[in-house]
Parts: sequence; structure tokens; C-alpha cells
Amino acid sequence: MSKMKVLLVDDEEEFVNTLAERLQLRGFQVLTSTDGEAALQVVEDNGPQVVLLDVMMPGLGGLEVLQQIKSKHPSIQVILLTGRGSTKEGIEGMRQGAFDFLMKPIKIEELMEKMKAAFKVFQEGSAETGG
Amino acid sequence: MTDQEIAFMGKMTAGMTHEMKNVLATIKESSGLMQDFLKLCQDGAFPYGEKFAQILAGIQGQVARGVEISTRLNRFAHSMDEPVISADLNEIIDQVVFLNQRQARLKQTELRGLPSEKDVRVETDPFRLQLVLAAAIHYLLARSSPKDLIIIRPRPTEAGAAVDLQITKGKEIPETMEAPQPELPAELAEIKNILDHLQAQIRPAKAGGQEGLVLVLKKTR
Repeated sequence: MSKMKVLLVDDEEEFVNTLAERLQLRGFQVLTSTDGEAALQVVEDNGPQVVLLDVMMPGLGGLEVLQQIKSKHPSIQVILLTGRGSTKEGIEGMRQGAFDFLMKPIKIEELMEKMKAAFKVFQEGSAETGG
Repeated sequence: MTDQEIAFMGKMTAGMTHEMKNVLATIKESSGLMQDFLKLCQDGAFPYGEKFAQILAGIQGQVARGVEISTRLNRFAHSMDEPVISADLNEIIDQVVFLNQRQARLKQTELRGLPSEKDVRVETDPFRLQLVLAAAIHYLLARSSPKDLIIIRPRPTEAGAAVDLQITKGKEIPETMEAPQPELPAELAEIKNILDHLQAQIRPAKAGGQEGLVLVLKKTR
């Protein structure tokens, strides 16, 4: 299995840096971004297979970023990170094409399971489209 | 407070709880990263490894506690979003019991919600209903002794719903309450206008010889 390339997008810089380091320690290739617009550029330039995306960000919000990623790169799998007490945003995101969602603070083991499942779906999607 | 003022307070509080969760998420990942590096140390390479592991586990435990509190506070804040909703009394009681645990602990009294097996719903103002339930809890806490148990349980009625709040001395929970007295206790007079707004009533009613209250709610506000 090739190494998973994951993009982590959240406006909380310290959260991004720390979680990125934890994922790198676990063997993932991690790209980071602290705003939605920059994240879209990273997607174009680096082609991650999985995106971890905060829903509530200043500027371009998580759900808008999700829509743009899915419209141009439907095989990229997006896992939403929500900070609210309800599952409303996560469910709405899944309706718009997100692979899954997690409430912050996240459990690293749970995140890794979802990332692996998302990567599998990405690989299946890429094989079907010959990508 | 007007509905507009309540909604404003809810919006501000919800925003702050979101920020609190971001802070907790960062602390959780930072302490998790420290745990990761600790695991990378070979046995005995770091003399205080065990102590650090204990401390980090303590931090993670407190983060989990903080997350639960901020999640509940966030839910409370969102209860101010709408002036009238179809309120699930099992959920509302679970929330009010959580939010008042500290007051109960200070009185060394246990506070417990007993959900109804049936769906108990009323069209009502969720914020003001929580206010009324909290006032009823505080009324009973003032009359409770250490080691008492206060139970709160909703039940459907023909006209809507009722919530029984009972002090119990032992583990036995009385099934039924005696017929309620007609008057609102003087100590709760300050919430009369809120009860009127909800078209609700609170009446004293004994259960198993102990003090209690019955909150009566109409199906539709």
C-alpha cells in the first residue's frame, strides 16, 4: 500500500502543527493549511488523497471548501472536523459528499481508522476512473 | 429578558464554547504528542517516564472533563436559539441535571434524572423551562440533607406533561406522588411570571413522606 498523503486544514495553527506531527510519527505524509483558499491551492499542487477539514474557519468555510474539492476532484475523500456540540454540520457535510466527520477534540485512533477507510475508498475510486 | 436578548446571550455563549473546544483540542493533541515521544523513549532512557505518563493521563482526563462541560454549555447556549420548540423532556431533564450537579455536590446531595420510557414532548420555550426546572431543583436542594437523593422524572399527562421532583431519603424511589397542594411555594414566587409565560404550574407534593414538587406543562404553549 502506498503512503497516504493527507491534507490537514484548520485555522488553529497550533492544533494543525501538533496533529500533523502526531500523524507523521504514525507514517503519514502530512500537508497543512490554516485557511480554506490556501487549502484549495495545496490540493491542486500536491494532490492529497484524504483531506481533514475543519468546518468553521474564517473566510472560505469548511463546507465551501468541501464543495470545491468534490466538484473538481471527486475521488479525494474529505473527513470533516466539527467543533460544535451537535452532529448537524457533520451530517450536512456528508450530504454534500464528505466521507465522514469527527467531533473535536478527536481521538487519534478513531481518526486513523477513518483516514484508512477513506484512503481505501480513494484507491477504489481512482482504480475505477483509471486515475 | 426579551426573546431577542436571550438569543443574543445564547449566540455569544455558543461562540465562546466553540473557542473553548478549540483550546481543549490543542491541549489534547499537545499532550498526546508528548505521550507519543514518551513511547519512543526506550525503557529506562528517560528516568521520569512513568511519572510523566501519569501526569499526561491526568491532563487527558481533565481535557475530557472540559469537553463534556463545554459540550453541555454549548447545548445550553443553543437552547436559546428558538423561543418555542417541540421539547423532549427526557433530554431537557438530562441537561438540567448535568448543569446543576455542582450545586447538588455542594449540598452533598445526589441529583438524578429518571427518563420516561415514553416520548414526553411539549411545545415550549426550552430556555425558560430549564430556568424553571433549575429553580425547582434549588428549592428542593435547600430542603435536602446530606446523602439525600433528588430524582426528577417526566411523565405524559392528558393535558400535556408533568415533571415530578422528589427528595428521597433512601434508595427506594416512591412510584407516585400525593395530590399536589394548590399554591405555588412562596420561595418560588419570583418565577411566577416565567411560569405564566410557559402556561405552567409548580405545586408542592409529598412523595413517601418527603418533600417534592410537580411541574405541570400544557401540551401546546
